[in-house]
Amino acid sequence: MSLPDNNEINKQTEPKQPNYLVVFLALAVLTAIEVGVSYYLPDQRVYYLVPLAFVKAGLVVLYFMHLKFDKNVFGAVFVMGVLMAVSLIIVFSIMFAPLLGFNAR
Amino acid sequence: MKEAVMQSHSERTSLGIESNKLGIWAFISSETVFFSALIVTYMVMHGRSIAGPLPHDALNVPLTAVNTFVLICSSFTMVSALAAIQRGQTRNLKLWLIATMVLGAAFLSGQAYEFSLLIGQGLSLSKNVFGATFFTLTGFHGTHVLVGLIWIGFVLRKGFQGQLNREDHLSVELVGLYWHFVDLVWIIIFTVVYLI
Repeated sequence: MSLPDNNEINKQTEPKQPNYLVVFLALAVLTAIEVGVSYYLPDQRVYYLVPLAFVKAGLVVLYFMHLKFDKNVFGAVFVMGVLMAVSLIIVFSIMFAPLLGFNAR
Repeated sequence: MKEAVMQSHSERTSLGIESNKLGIWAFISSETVFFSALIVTYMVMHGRSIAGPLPHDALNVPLTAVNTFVLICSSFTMVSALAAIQRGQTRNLKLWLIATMVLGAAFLSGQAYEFSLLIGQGLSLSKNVFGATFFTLTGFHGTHVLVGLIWIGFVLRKGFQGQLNREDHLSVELVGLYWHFVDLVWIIIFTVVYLI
């Protein structure tokens, strides 16, 4: 099996360029919404803030870090780390379950 | 969406991908686990301090919200720098990289100012559990930002030396991935520490 040369690699890796300004504005708006939620919906803030944080993180990873347009192997490597991180959080949460709970301000 | 042709002088690999880029993603993956450990420690210890200062007394959400916006801006300028060199615009690359460094330095200055306010209120690493977990988490993040700034500086120097062009700019992409990850971590920290 012959190894791919640089021309073949370059052809396979043609990055698409999304509208970065739109992504940036979305991140800015979502940040403003998060701050608003923390002030005006303090009792339900966890239910709004956690999904919002994931959406913002997704925008950064998929568009700014080009994971949406790049080779799947990079995404697989990153997802492995995310899965390990999630496992860590779950295990810690179970271990310290009696101590958990975000106290009201 | 526009399609830009990226040409990099990557070595031949059996997977057909740049090994440097794969290495950066593996590093980012490991850093994800590292920061998740710090974040979950903060979450578990949240509210366990016996004495103050406590989060709702000490933390300045408006200041940190502005700081967060500054870091998001720096992510935009970083990705704009990469887009510029992918189009062969070396002058714009340098301008966007300088803007990224300025914004990154502004973020660190904001963090330093916030730390000075917290220390003025009596908070420290050894004061209580909140101080220990807060300064450890944000301190490590700030260190990563500082490392990123130094790295961008080296890439910028390559730009001024004419070593970056449309065909050879992998170093810009690599530092960009690191910088966006640093922004990504702050997005999570801002939500968990300051808002929740």
